[in-house]
Amino acid sequence: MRYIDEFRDAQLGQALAGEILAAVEPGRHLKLMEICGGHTHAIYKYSLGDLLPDNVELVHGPGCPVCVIPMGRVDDAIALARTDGLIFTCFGDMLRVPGSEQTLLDAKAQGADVRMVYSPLDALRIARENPGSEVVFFAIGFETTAPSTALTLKRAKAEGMTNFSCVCNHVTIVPPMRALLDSPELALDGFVGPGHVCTVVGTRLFEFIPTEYGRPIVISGFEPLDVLQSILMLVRQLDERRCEVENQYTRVVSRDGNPRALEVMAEVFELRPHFEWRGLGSIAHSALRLSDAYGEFDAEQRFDLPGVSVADPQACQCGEVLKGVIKPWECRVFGTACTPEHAIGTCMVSPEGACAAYYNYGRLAAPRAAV
Amino acid sequence: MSARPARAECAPGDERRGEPLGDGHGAPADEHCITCGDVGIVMRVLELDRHAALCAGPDGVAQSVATDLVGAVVVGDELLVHAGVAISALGAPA
Repeated sequence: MRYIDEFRDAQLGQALAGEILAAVEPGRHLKLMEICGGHTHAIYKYSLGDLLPDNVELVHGPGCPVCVIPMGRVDDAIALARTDGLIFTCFGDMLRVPGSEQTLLDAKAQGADVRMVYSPLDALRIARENPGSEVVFFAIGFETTAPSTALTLKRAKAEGMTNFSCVCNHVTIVPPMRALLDSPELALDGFVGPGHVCTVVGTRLFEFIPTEYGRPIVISGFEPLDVLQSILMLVRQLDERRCEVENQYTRVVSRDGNPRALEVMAEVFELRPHFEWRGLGSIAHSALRLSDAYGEFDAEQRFDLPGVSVADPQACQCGEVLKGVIKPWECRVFGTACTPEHAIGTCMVSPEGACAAYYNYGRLAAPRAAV
Repeated sequence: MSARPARAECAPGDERRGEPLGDGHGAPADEHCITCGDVGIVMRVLELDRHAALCAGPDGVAQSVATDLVGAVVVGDELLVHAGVAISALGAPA
């Protein structure tokens, strides 16, 4: 299919790898962070790290919204899902995320009406089809996903739906990026930027990275050649001592993003004062809640949620993985107590989590010499 | 802890990205989830409705896609779709 096949060409990939090798400054170690879980997945799946010179190191960032959701909110979701007569809907990736004791899949196995949906619009359809039941959608995701939730709520309001509501866990990408950049333990040379987030918000949102933090960023697509080309663009910026936002993903990303999506988000959401991120702690203005105009659809107002705060498991080092301080295989429980089948940390639950991606695609290719 | 669900539970087939890099080296089946992977899938418009379009992805599976956020589309357009909603038209950033 156009826009896909040509970005998976192996010969072009090898050629790009050669250009990266030629462009990188000998003796200089470059530490580049891919922000988005989709990039992490592509890097491991296509073994892109093997195509890079040893002195170009990729660090996996916090861009998996499932990986950063705290246990307490999962516990709240499970408690809500157990409500009699309530239909709880969520994306498939949420089903296996561990709360303090169980997952939503466990609750479903024990009788809770938990249904996986592909789109929030599917949750709204379920609400239409079940007028006698409360239907809750567990909304999660960065700015890529938030417009679909906003559009769904806008339609629910227009239709006068009274049995549909939403637990809003949407997060925003810039505050955790700032938290990472402010972290003294992190020494990064540049960023591979989140292409699909930028489809919505535009590249403009990331201009603070070069201007305030002196780091280059290249907004990247998700096919293997996209990622390789973005790394090449970053290496060239660093070699030429340039520091700017560059857009590799021009086929869908503009500087200003998608104005219709931004408009509907502004209508439906407002910033939360604070939001808890797994491994990163509480970050101000880093998540969205429903605006007053949509308060009637806010499940956190409609239902009495426990709202408990649960500490991350002590054995789990997801926080350090998310900050790029350690590699997945350097976590003390990686691949032993924590596997995709029995995940302790959220980075192992989501296929795009750094640990799961490495476990699924990379663990046989490299020895755990660093452990 | 529960056993891992079948892949089909993780995300419907139309969110899969399909073929491995060029020469077909042996990568396992793709297993993206739409939120954690920030997945956008390229789909071609087959038919138009008022605020939706019937679109086909790389695997040929057709599904209804909301087009409210990308403005007017015509049959044959290629859209970037996330969670059942088109967020951009390819080749012409919104």
